Amino acid sequence: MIEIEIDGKPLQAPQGAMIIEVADANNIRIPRFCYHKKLSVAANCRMCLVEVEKMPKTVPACATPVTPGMKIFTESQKARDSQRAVMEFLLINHPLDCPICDQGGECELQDNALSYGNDNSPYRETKRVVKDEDIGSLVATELTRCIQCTRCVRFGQEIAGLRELGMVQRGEHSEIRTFMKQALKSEVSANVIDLCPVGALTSKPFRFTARAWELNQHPGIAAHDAFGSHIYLHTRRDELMRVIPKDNENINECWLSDRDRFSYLGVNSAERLLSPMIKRNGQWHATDWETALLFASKSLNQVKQKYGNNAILGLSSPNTTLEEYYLFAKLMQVLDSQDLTYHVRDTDLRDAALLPEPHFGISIADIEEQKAIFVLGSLLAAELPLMSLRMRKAILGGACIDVINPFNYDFNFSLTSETVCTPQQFAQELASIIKVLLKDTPNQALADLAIVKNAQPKAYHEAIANRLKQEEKSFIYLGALAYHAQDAALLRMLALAIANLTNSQFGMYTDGANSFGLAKIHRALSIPVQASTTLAANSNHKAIMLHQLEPSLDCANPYQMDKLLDQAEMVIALTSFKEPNLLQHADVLFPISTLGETSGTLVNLENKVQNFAGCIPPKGEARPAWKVFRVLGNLLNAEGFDENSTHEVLNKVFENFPDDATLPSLAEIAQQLADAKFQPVDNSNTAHDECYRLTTWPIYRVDNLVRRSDALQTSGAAKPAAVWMNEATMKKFQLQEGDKVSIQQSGNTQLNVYLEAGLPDQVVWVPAGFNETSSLGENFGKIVINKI
Amino acid sequence: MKLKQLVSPETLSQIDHWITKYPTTQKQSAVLPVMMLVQDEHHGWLTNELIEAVADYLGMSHIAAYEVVSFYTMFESQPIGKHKISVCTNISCQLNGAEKIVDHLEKRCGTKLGETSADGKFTLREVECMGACIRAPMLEYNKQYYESLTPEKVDELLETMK
Amino acid sequence: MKFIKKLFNIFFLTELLKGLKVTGKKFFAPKFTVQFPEEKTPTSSRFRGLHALRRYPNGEERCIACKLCEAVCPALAITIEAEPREDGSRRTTKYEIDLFKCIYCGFCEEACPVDAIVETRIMHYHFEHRSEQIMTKDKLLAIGDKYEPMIAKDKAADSIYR
Repeated sequence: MIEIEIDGKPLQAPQGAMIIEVADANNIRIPRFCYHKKLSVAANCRMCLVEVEKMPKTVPACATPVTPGMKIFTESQKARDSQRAVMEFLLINHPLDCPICDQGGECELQDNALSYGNDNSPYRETKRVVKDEDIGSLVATELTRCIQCTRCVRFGQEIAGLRELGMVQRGEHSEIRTFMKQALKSEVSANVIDLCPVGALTSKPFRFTARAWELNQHPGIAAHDAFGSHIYLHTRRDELMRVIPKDNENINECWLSDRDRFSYLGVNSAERLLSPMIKRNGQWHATDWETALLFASKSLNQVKQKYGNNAILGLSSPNTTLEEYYLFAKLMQVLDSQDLTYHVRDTDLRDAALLPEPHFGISIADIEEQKAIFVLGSLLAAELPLMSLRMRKAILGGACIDVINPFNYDFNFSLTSETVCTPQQFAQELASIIKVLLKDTPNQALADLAIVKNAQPKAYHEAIANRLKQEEKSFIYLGALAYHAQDAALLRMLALAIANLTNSQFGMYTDGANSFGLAKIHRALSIPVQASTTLAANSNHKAIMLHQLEPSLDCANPYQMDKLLDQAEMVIALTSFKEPNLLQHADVLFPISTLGETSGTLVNLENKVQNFAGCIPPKGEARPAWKVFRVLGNLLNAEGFDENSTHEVLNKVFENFPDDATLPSLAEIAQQLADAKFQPVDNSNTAHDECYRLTTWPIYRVDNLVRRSDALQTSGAAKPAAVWMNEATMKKFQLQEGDKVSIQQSGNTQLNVYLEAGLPDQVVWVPAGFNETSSLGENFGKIVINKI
Repeated sequence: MKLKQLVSPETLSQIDHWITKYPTTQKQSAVLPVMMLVQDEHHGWLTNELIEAVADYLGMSHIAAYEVVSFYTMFESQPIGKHKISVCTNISCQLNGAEKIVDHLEKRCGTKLGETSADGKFTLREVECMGACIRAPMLEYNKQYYESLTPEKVDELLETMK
Repeated sequence: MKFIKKLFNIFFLTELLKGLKVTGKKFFAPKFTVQFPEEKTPTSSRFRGLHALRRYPNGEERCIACKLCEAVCPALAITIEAEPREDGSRRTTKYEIDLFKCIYCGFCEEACPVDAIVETRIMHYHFEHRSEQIMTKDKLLAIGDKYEPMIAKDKAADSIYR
């Protein structure tokens, strides 16, 4: 620490800090445009010029490190004159169109112009005009307003790792451009909206709809991934207008993924269900809550009387809040059924006894501290966009990252090693790493496992093992492809064994925003953890309750779900949207509230419990889901169900809330793995005329709200419903890019063929979450492809 | 397309030679000489395809390579004429009569500054100071400086270009 | 003495006569009463009466949905909703003034950067039904269209003071 003085105020400052950092830390305001605390210093706007004693000229505060005894004046005549001169210079080419500019009212240039600008400009020459460019459905451009601070360019290069915007030409002709007019493809591209100090880059969906000063700001939690990013919901006259990030250094820093930012557009979708509906003789009739609730409770009671235990199946979205799921679970208990799950996409839960809840061994902020990272089966930026940014930071800090993936996924950082194999081979790959590790730390139980015995480690297995072992801060991450794989439980156990042997931390992807919390409810209420596919295969449930779930789009095996729903006598769906498949199968639809319309609690992957409050009234007749479960409980004359707020429900949840589960020991893992049921599910080779299907839920198809955000669906990062394969596979089936093929896997569908060079031979990638693929079966498995 | 498919093996070996002059983690530092080599081989201008290929080869983003091309007047991203003449109009040259030279060139070449003549023969470029102020006014043609210009000297030069 | 003076005043009714003198003066003086509605008082060009939305001479509506009038309105009488029009320009989809809330302060007119919302000299209007007091965008534009010559003249008259 060194002693400096700003505006006569003696201050302590860390050695090497820039003047602007010290000033910010001490609430001394220095105007700035190009400086941003998360970006590198560019010092190209010159707005932060300050006077320093014994320096002949004013210096940029953002690029001048403090030195002992430095005396800085931010408001001296000299500093003020410099700042005013810079402001006048910036305003030369800036249009005076604040009244039609969306940034008006929250514009850094506008604010600074008020303090440092003149009311008149002697500039009489023509102003610069820059042609606009369409850079996708999320970010609107008005490039004439650009003041060339290059924050957006530096964001792409330094934070997102995907440099899409650049400053082309030079001098007065410099302008922000993409290469060849491309739409932004990054999953975090819309952060440039917040970064832009002027109105050059603004939100396209929000364009012209509201002003900053008429919005009410409500804190909230983003509910699309397990990060639980902090957000602000902006409302006006009881309508959700936009979502912006809320700074939280421990979770999302000052960033937000596009998914969390633009999902709000789904709230006002035309498909929104506005009143309860009952199907009579195949016809849907809108009705009132009382009728619908009575009808549902009576039907549920009948099924329970007629078929006894476990005749009713409850399926919930993994985005559900603790309160809703708790009441749902209680209701299922009243209905004498244990068959309740939120595991709709992952299919393998054989390890539920040892690992009853998901695990993420390090805090989010710690990700960037790691020195060796091993990733298995992950499309990182499409799963957890902000985790991708954190890992990128770790890599830039010198970490090694090894990846085993089913294709060459384009990470936004450079990898130390990348290995491509099919998901069937994942277990074998992990076993090979274990075999390497066992050389130094012998463990007979593990060595005796067939899968380890058969393993043939290669050089890269040794490299990965050594890195994980040598580095003190090492981390193993299992991505969505590993989480959804047929062998998921086996992979988790093997990865845990590696973590144990190398003293690394272990973390896994989970679906939705609340998988970590919902697992705890299962533990608290002793409800067995089962996957939807297992439940559906084991029993023909006569009544099915769906909560915020669209089975044809959200489930691992839509074909199986379709059959199950077909044979059920009663399907009750609590949903915010009218989805064609739901309309076909359901008997009662309850409209429930969605983002911003209800309060609740989510648990993120750090096991951090986060509450949020509702800020707008639900659309139409929609009501919060917890109220629906509560009233259904009352109508079934059950004990309890007397809560009047989510707070009261939460208190009940916390009465018996389990602590975080401990990880199994190496001996337990070895013992478990020796069990016959822990054999790989499907090890057979793909037949000559078959392909192996690989499935992910594309980033903007993960839940019912995101699917209805039109801007996201047309953005650069959105993927179409199609089938991807490599050149060799194309050749084998005599296909070309753009051809239509018929695909058979339980059901049939027709899709276009796209090239994805990094896939292994005879492995095709068919995304789920689309109507086009909702007739297919399991998310991983063999499929037959025929050219049409 | 890959750079290998777009340039001759000789050029590629020259490119690789340039790359070895920089640290292996800083391959992109070679972007200027590489672009120059590629441009010389492709009729004096760089297509988007070439820019992409060079960017991929040097491990930099496409837009970063395009920034470089758009920044320097020696790179062209639009088709140009057979002969590219770059005239300096910066302060020293201007004081010594660059305007006259420009007028003369425009008349002789039948095109405006910054444009290409209708017959596709000449492209006139206005450039900033090239460091030859001592013998202003000057122009650059075919990587050669022509200094202390007079309209007559320009005529002489143009004769050689026929 | 004082007593005699008072007695004199009482006896000769001087106070009454003094009063009647004023009455007589006013009786013959010119009259100021305006015979409404046949006659009207003159109004200032700054008179703040019924609101109107103006158009440019080419027929384009002036209002650009900047919402400054909405923000400045002390009575919260103005409600605006906006979105991009088909040609991409910023326009209102809803512009309503609740005349029951409006206090005719003229701040909206002062705040408007494009002279779109104005308060005219019109003061004689009435409503026959509830909800008619909500002046919609169409109504306001219609008033603007009808009285544009008058509004333009008033604006011009006032412009020298701005």
